[in-house]
Parts: sequence; structure tokens; C-alpha cells
Amino acid sequence: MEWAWLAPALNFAAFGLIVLGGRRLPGQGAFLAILAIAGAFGVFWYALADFLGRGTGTYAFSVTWFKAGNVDVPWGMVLDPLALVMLGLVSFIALVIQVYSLGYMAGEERFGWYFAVHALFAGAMLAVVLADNLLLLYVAWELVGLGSYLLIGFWYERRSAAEAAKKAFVTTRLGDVGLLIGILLLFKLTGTFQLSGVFAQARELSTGVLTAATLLIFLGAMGKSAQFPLHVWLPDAMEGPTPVSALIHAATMVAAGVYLVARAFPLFELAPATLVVVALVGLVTAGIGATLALVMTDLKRVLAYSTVSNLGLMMLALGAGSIAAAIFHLVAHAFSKALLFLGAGSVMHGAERTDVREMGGLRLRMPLTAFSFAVGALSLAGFPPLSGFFSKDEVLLAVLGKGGVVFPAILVVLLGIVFLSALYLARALLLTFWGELKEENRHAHEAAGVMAVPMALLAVGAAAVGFLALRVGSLSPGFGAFLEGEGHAFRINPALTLASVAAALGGFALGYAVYQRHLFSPQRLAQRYSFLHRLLVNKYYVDHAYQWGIDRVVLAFSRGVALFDRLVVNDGGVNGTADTVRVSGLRLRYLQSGLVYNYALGIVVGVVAVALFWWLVIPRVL
Amino acid sequence: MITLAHLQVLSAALFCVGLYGVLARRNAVLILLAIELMLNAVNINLIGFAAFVDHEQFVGQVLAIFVITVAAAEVGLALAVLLRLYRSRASVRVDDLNMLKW
Repeated sequence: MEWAWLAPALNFAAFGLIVLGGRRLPGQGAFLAILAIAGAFGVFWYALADFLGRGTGTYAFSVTWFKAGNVDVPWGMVLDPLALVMLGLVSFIALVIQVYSLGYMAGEERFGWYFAVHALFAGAMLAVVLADNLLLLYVAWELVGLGSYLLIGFWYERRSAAEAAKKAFVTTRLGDVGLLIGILLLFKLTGTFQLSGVFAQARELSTGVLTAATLLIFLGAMGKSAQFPLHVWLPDAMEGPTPVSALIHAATMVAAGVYLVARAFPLFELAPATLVVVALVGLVTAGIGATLALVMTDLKRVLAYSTVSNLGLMMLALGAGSIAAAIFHLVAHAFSKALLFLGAGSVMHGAERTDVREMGGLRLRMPLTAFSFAVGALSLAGFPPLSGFFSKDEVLLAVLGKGGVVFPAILVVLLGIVFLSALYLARALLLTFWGELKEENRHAHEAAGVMAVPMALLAVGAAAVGFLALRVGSLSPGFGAFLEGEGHAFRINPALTLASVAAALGGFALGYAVYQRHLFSPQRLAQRYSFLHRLLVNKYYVDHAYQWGIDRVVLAFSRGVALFDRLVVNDGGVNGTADTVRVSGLRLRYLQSGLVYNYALGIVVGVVAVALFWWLVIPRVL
Repeated sequence: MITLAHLQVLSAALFCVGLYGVLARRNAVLILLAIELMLNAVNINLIGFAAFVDHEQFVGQVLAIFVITVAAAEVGLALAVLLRLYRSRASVRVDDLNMLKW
């Protein structure tokens, strides 16, 4: 278990090796990245075996990073059930996606660079997961941001890709600033960056300060995990290669925010106000994502808003106080969403289009893709006994168990979101793979083996991961109990389960009626409620609001600052100084007459002046 | 009876004559002579103080000998420079030597 640091280190090493010698290596060094992430996955199994042997607990080890004055900053790794789960999830999903990328990115100009950045991205995420202090976590956190920037902007020749990468980076930076301030605030209060040290002292801090610190940390999580109103970058991140989307949406980037809140949960627990904020932001995000996914026509965008919605659910579960539900949903969602994205990538690869309106009947041409996509969609929609069913019920139970005034009301909205999720997933699935095969899609073909195997693996995962929740004799205590100890074992509330399954079935049935049987036309509905439709198509005008803010506020302010810079700093300060020196030099140079007796006279006058000063002025002043 | 004050007045007068020469003369050789006058004014001052104030040590006398030595060296060097100047420019008027200016 002491070797856990190898997991990120291997990936960083792979990044370095490929960047330095990629072109000379066979296959541009892609195998190095895959070996590194496979090594990380191996570390996971090794640590898991250790855990099951020694019993769960928290294992931490650190060495001194640097000392400044009496502040001692170590860096090290911490392995507890939470970190272990994330370690396994991240390394497995990243491994599968990298293998898939071998096929998807084949023939790409910067093939090696792609895998190098992939390794960097995965390594940074693993470092976030394993970091035992906030400073190291922040460094890794920023590296995740850098990796996402490079991958989203992988095809930077395309202007839209470059813009999307910039948008993702800047939007998440907004949150990161909050995170940094939060970390520094905690450091100022407790004098340590160590998570364990901060948690130990948290009880002595006042609730107000803790609320501020946790809200700031949550701001960072909002940026990375695409929570409203910082969710705008995620749908645009589609501009990257599809496997990158799969990685970002499943295991690395967006999982970081949820993980951060779960990791810092001992602090959040002590700040009830923050938890309510977390829950409400999660709910709003879930609602926005679910409604927007209904009207998007780009397959990847539908999936992107579905991710936004599910991330909202995870935050909601955290706000309701259940780490187990949030992380379980994170895992189940990661499998399903990675599968869906790889399926979408396979469709783009095989049929070369992304608009769901131009597809249809593709199951005839790509049966495996259709099947695995269906598994992912049904799982995410919450059909028993697929994994999404278990995890969604956990979230619902967490909300129900919280009680109070707010949370039962949330539950009703939540069931509506479950209904909408099933509806938009049915829409994406049916429009893409069912219905008539269009003439222009006859050439579509199934993905090759190197892409098919990862999809099959993920399909098994998406179908079966849910059963991890159950206790299996003495072999496994069940997911919740493993994560949070006894008392968090899996349980079922029959009425709630019935309601959620009914909502999911209802959503799916409605989708089937509209998009398969054409019982009534969505276009007519859109016309009748054109106001609502416009609102959705324009994504609630959030992007417009940002654009307005940038144009009218940021740019106007910048123009003022630029004017100040030009007039005062440049003309006054820089050129002014130079002009003063030049002009005074021009005037004063005539003192250099070149005549010796002039200089001599100067000396005499100077001596006399000094003498007069010495004898007449100084005695008076003193 | 000659007092210290007499010597100081003599020294000051000599210094002023020398100073006037330095400022007013245009011939470099005469300026050199005027500088010698100023140096000797200083010497008179030193010797005067040595004779009237300091009876044990010979600080004033030693300093005066130093000044004479330095003045001799200075005149030797300066006359050599003037000689070279005269060879190259056919003049030792300081008005003509005004090339080091703006």
C-alpha cells in the first residue's frame, strides 16, 4: 500500500517519456501510456487486496516537501476506502478509453501527443484522488485543468475546438480561485495543509468561518463538476475527440469536484448551511441538465447535458449528507456514461455524423454499438437491475432520509428528473439506432475489435456494477458499508423504488410513443409552447448572460483599464520619465563648454557656496 | 612683531592672486604659474600654523615639503603635456582647447 504513489507517478513518467522520445518509439509511444495506466490499475488491485486483508481504514504516508519558516509542508498519499474506489474507477475507465483510442485516433497526426496528454490527465486525476494535503491536491487539481485544456483543444486547428478549450479552462478557473482562497483560509485558521490535521481542528472553528471555507471549496467543485452556473463549459467540451469526452464525463475531470466535496466532507458536515447550498445547486443543475438534454440535436450534446444532470444528482446526494450515495452514483454513472460516449464515438466513426435527426436504424449496421449503447442508456435511466437503478435509488433514499422541510420537496422534483432522464435517453437511443435506416447511412459500419472490446467491457460494468451495493457473505460488505462503515449498508424503500422505476418506465414509454410510434409530433409541441422551446434551445440563455457579461462588463472595464494604462502608465510614467531625462539632458549639456576656466569658476563658486552654507546656515539651523 | 594673523593675511592675499590668475588668464603656462602661487599660499599658511601653534611635532613642515614635492611633479607633468599640445596645435591658449564639450 506504501506504493500507491506509483499510480500517478507512472502516468507522469509516461507523459515525460512520450513527449521526449515519442516520435522514435514504435506507435509513437502509445503503449507507454497504456502500460502506465494499466500499472495504476494494478496498484488498485494490490491495494484492494491489502485492504481486504488488513481491514478498511485510513493509511497515510508522507515525506517533507519543503519547509518555510516554521511551516512544514509534506506531500504524501492517503488511502482510505473513498480514495481506493476512485483509484480503481479512474484507472479502469482511463485504461479502457485509452485502448479504445488506439482504434479511434488511428492515423491521427499527433497520435503520440494525444496519449501523452492522456497520461498526464489520468496521472493528475490520480494525484487528486490520492493527495493527503490540500496544497498537493490543488497542484494536481490545476494539472487536471491543464490536461482537459490540452485534450479538448486537441484539434486546435479548428477554431471552435480552441474556443471550447479556452472556455473550459477559464470557466473552471473561476471556481479554482474559490478553491485556492478556501484552502488558504483553512491554512490560516489551522496552520496546516494536511487533510487529517484540518479535520482534527475543524470542530474548534466557528460555524461562520467553516461555512465560508466550505462554500469557497464548493466553488472549486462547481467549476470542475460543471454545476450551475459554471456548467457551460461541459457541453462545449464536445469539441475534443470523443474518447476524451468519455474520459472527462466519466472518470476524471467532472468526478474531481464530487470527489473533492466527498473528501472534505468532515468540514461540510460542520457547516449545515453549505450543505443546503450544495443540495440546491445540485438540484438546479440536475433540472437544467435534464431539460436541456431533451432538445439537443447533437448526440454528444444530449449526453453532455445528461452528465450535467447526473452530476447535479451527485451533488444533491452530498448535500443530503450521503457520501456513499454520491460516490456510488459517480461510479455507476461513470461506467454508463463512458459506455454511451464510446458508443457515440463509434457512431461518429462508423456513420460520420453527430446529429440525431440524420441518423436512425443504425442498429442494423452496428449491432454491438447499438446493444452497448442501449445497456448504457437503460442503466442510466434507472432500469432494474442495471447499475443506474441501484445508484439512483441510493440518491433518492439519501434525500428522503434527510428529512426536514426542503428535502421532501426536492424528492418530488427528483422523480420528475428521473422521468426526464428516461425520456431523453429514450430519445437519443431510438432516434439513433431504431427506426428506418436512411439511404445516406447505408455505408455505416461496425467498430473494429480494438474499439469493440472496450465497449463490451464497459457494457458489462454498466450492467453489473450496481450489484456491488449488495452484501455478499463475508467476501464483500457492500459498497456503502465499505465506504462509510456499517450502518450505511444497502437498503431499499419499496415505495420509493416503485415510484422511481415507474417514473423511469413512464419516461421511456413516452419516448417510445413519440419517437418510435410517432403517436404525436414533438415539432407540434414545440410550436405550441414556442416560448418554452426557445428557452430550452437557447440553453436558458446562460451562455447569452455570460456573453453579455463579458461584452458589457468585462470588456468595458478592460477598455477603461487599457486607457488608464495607455495614458497614465505608458504616456505619463514610462515615456514621461524618458522625456524628462532627455529634455533636461538637452538643456543641461550646454554647461559643458569645454573651457577650463569655466569649470574652474564652477569649482570656486561651489566651494564658496559650501563655505557660506557651512558658516552661515548650519549654525542657525542647529 | 609678526603675528599669525599677518601670515594668514599674506597667505590669503597670495591665494586670491593665484585664483584670479587661474580664472582670468588664457595662457596655459600662466595658469600653471598661478596654480603654483596658490600652492605656495597654502604652504605659508601651513608653516605659519606650525611655527605659532605646534611646537612639538613637525606636522606643518612635513606637509609643506609634501606640497612642494607634489607641485614639482605636477609642473613637470603639466609642462610636458603643454609641450605636446603646442607641437600638435601650435597654441597653448585655453580658449582654443575647447573640443571636450557638447
